[in-house]
Amino acid sequence: MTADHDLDAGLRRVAAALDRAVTPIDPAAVLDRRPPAGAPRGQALLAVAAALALVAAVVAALASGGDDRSVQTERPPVSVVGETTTTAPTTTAPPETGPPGTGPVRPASYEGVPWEQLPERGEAVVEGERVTLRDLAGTELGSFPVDELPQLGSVEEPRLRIQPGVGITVASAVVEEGDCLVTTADGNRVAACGPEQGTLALLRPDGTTVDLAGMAIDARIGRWRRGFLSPDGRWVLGQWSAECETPFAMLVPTDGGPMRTADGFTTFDGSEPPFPATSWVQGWTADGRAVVTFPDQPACGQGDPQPGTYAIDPETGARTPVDAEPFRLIPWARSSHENDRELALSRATVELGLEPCCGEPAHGGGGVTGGVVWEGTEVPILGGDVGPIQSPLTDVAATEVDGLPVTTGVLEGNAVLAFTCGDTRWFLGGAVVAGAPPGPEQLAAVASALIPHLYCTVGPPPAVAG
Amino acid sequence: MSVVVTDRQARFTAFCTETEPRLRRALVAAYGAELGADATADALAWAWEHFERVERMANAPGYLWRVGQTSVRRAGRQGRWALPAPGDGDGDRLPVEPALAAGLAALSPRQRTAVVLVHGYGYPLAEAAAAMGCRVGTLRNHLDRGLTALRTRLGVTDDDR
Repeated sequence: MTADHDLDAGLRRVAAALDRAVTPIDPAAVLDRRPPAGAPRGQALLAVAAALALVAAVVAALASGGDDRSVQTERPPVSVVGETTTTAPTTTAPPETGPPGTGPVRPASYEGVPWEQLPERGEAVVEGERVTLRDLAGTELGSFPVDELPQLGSVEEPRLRIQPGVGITVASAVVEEGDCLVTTADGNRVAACGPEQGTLALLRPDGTTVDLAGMAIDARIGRWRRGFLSPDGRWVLGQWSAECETPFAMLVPTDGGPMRTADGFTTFDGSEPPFPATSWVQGWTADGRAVVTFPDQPACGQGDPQPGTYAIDPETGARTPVDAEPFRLIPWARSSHENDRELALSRATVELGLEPCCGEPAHGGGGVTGGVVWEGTEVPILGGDVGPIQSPLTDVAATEVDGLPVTTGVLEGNAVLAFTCGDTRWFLGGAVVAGAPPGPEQLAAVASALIPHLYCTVGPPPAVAG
Repeated sequence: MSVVVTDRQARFTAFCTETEPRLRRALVAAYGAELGADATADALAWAWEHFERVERMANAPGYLWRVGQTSVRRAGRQGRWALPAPGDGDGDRLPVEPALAAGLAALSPRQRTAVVLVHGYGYPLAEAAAAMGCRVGTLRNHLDRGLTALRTRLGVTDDDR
């Protein structure tokens, strides 16, 4: 073979040979092979999702103190009085690598299903040098080098939030007091919640709940940190954190049967050794084995005679070392921008290299509730329809930031700055999220930085109702 | 006995007719005739099971390509790629040069798939990239590397250079 056309001709013969060797698959044979998954489940899932959204919305409302800071249109901005009119990029173009810290990062070498097309949830496997995104059935959807998401190394038990067009945010998966972390697998949800996280529950798509933590472990001091459902849905691999933060990986059958530790103990009541060993949940292999690490010298608790990371058959307890490929399973969720305002604020946050904060998803609404960390201070930011401010502001003034019209005021002792940009009224400050509230100078600085990255035209300053 | 074809079945049949050839060719190029065919069947079965979701996907073939890949890995059967032996009706056809078959076998599955889809079947880059669930730029990388390896192995000169 001496020229490319010979190579092309040879490859065409290869293609023809492959076509001849394989009979096309008849759709009818596929229909016979596997029955469709129950379609009605989708409706149940929608109901669950709607219920969760409602709960989250209520939580968000409570967190905001119940203020009605929504804005209603009194009159549209008929004339443009601002001087900043910028055009959004035709495609969202955040930096290929994001800022350090906890802000979103876009792995430059990601290869796989576009983020917009990812399912809502899945699990990421960290093996060796790569992070692989899988759906909850174990299908590998994409991967990228682990060093392109350096934040993973700084969070002990991480979870990933994937924002199409923005990046991946690493957050802690550990259940906080009063929180309720849910991981899902094909419609079922595992929740570690209840007072002091004393409850590990399986939430089924039909809305029923199975309490999985009804045995002796409840008598111990501690809490559930998180739980992963096995690929076949028959087991939960739960992380129990006992006194002195002694962790135990627990294998919990979802039929309500007795749970046991990853090393096979069904009780903590033994007074003679051997005792259950400290163990860390890592996740599930695609073939349904629990991956658990038994540390060599745990800070508290008992070490395993044979420390290491193992894949454990939940039925038999048989262990297979997996130390050749360090393994870590991380839940992820795709967070779609529900509206243009969410996208605008997220994009601006990334472009400015700021850390996002204070946010709640829109839950189907048209506004955005978010914020940024500005010089260590959390600055809440709301975006909604253009119109007068309904909140009872005092010290209201029409002023300027960088020559652009804004409205300033005070809400319950906290500085507020609002401006109209395009079809959105942005409202900065007015609530204390964490630490000291942002002052008027900080709000002006945030507005000054934010406006060019919102890609809009600044309009008349918002009025205050009443 | 009458056979009732539901709307879902009809839509799936149409989907299969359109999707199956590219999916099968990609998976067979990657994993060989037997494994590739099995993976295609698995992926289409998965698609039937989750068809409501599959119908809404922007690039269902790309997703199914990954389902097929996972099926191969789970089966643990991935071995050395080989061109199928000539069949009974192949006697009068030009044979594939053994060195080319060996060269293809030495490529990574993705390089081999890119080369076979684009240069063997003549798919446009965008179509081949969609079949492999990747961007055109990524496909081009696999293609360039695969072709370079093949040319080196076979001592091929590039006509266009």
